Amino acid sequence: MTALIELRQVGMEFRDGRRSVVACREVSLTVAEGEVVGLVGESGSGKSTVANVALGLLTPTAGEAVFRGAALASRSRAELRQVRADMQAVFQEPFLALDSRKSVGWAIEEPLRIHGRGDREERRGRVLELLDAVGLDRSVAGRRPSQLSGGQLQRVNIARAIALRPSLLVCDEPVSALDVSVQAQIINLFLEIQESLGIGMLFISHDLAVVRHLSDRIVVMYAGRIVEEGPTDQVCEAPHHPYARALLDASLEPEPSRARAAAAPAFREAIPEDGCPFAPRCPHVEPACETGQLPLAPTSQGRSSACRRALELVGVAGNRDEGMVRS
Amino acid sequence: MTAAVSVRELRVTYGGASRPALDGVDLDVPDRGSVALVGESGSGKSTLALAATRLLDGSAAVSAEELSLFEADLLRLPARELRALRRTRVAMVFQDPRASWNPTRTIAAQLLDGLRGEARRERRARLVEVMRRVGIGDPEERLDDYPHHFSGGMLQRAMLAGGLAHGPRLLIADEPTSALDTTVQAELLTLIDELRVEEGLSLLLISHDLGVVGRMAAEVVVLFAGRVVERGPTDEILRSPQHPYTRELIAATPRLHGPRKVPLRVGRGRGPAETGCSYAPRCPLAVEACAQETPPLRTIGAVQVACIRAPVDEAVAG
Repeated sequence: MTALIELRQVGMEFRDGRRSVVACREVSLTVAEGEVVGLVGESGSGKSTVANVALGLLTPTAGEAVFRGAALASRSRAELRQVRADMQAVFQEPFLALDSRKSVGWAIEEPLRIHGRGDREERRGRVLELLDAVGLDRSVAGRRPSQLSGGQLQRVNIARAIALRPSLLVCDEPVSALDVSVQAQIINLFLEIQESLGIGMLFISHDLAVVRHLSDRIVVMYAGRIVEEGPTDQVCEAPHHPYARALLDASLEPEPSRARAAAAPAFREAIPEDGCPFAPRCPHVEPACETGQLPLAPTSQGRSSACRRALELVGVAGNRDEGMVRS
Repeated sequence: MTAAVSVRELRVTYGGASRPALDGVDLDVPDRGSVALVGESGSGKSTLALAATRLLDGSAAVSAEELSLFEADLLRLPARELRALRRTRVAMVFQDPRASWNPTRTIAAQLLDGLRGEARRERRARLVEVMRRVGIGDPEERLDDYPHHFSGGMLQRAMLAGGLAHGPRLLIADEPTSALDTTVQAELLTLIDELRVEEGLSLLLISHDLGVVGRMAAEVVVLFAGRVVERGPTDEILRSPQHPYTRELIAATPRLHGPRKVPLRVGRGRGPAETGCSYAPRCPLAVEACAQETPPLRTIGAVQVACIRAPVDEAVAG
């Protein structure tokens, strides 16, 4: 598989006068052609920063973002234009992504117009094709965004995103603002277009179950760093990092009398300057965790963890009843 | 046994709306019990919680055969007593922690507003105590912080503290964790559980998330387009949901186990029907009769279901 997008040791520091915030550091990840990579983590973990770096909307302060073998930063304006046609985005708030004064058809046609695809007639035809592809009635083309539901609007955004037949789709919490049933419909639509178009996806969500459903591989972020990475089934069966384990244990499913998930030790203490960022909340912390910083390192075939006790803990924490209270 | 909440035949119509937001709904929250209201946006679940405490403003027309809170008749209670009852008996937490707080005033100033009687110093001492109860460290100092100094989860805790200061008996939590991260959600739900036991609180939970509901509530009421479509013990309903809408909610939730990358079973969302069963246009089991009359709630085993096709044959429903 060839890599579509590759982040190499990406760091992003935001400065505002004397204050500075490091949103992410040493983030390396790859999305191969036709592959779905799920990125999961809590708010403030740096997920959206990674999405914006991958899209070339942010220039990282360390490392680089490479698209199809060439760094985004080294591309000329004309090249960047081509790259942007080949990678598209879908964001969380479907309404905010659209111009409320323009019709839905106009919105879907916009990328075709900007990139000069086809003449007017051909573009119109393509808009109708796209409406079919995302399961919207063709009559929707004449309507304004305010006349559509959240689910319909997200379909419009997806139609816009696939209009140029991109090879990469970056989706940042695209189903988080939706009701359960509508969320399921949009997940199904992502599955459908991913399969029919063979598109590569970087799919970001705070919801592990949503990410699991769609992804081939999962990347877990905590406090701006990747703490675990691996094939979806393996990560969800037996995580190799205590934060990924905490996330899994805290996720609730609609099951009768399910074991009550144990909360990670209450409260987020300030993230330490030195040592493992998860150490203050980690049930398996030992003195060595409080100094230095363990980089992401391979733990088994295709898997990595940034925990020094990763392999030692697999046996212990791999038992799902451990640390859980039934009530 | 006294009931925390008792509602019979509640009907609510918002000004200008063509159809009622709630249409003949019953709700019982037993004292020290836990009941969850489940449904999608627009189903009426928040309206029901607001109407049950008479918090809807004048633009909503409310009628009911019974509307009582700890046996006080809310339909006849004078406004002043109604406010006192709400203040002393009911604690509330809403979805968006930021929207519930005024960003320009300290946490202490806002929580002190709600406390009556006693000297300011004693009221503040009471707040320090409840802040500690909800797990906020250094409450003396944190009370003088502004909302932006608090994380979302901390604001929800502070909101709970404000409610607890009155010694309430009912907690109404409207999507209390929907805006929070998964691990923070787990922490807050654990706290609510602890407070329920220690304070003897009844819980009325509103959520679209059946995972949260399964974790928190003994009973569940499923609402669709302003009507109850299924109600009963939570475990029973999660184990064998009878109404096709409840089945859809469960099947549409992505899981941490089992098959993935397969389509989730869900109908295409079409608007509720004007006549007959309002779920019929989306229902995979709908037959002609479904469009004729609104199905009444029928008892099937331990649950009540408003569906003429229930009980459904597993093989048919797939």
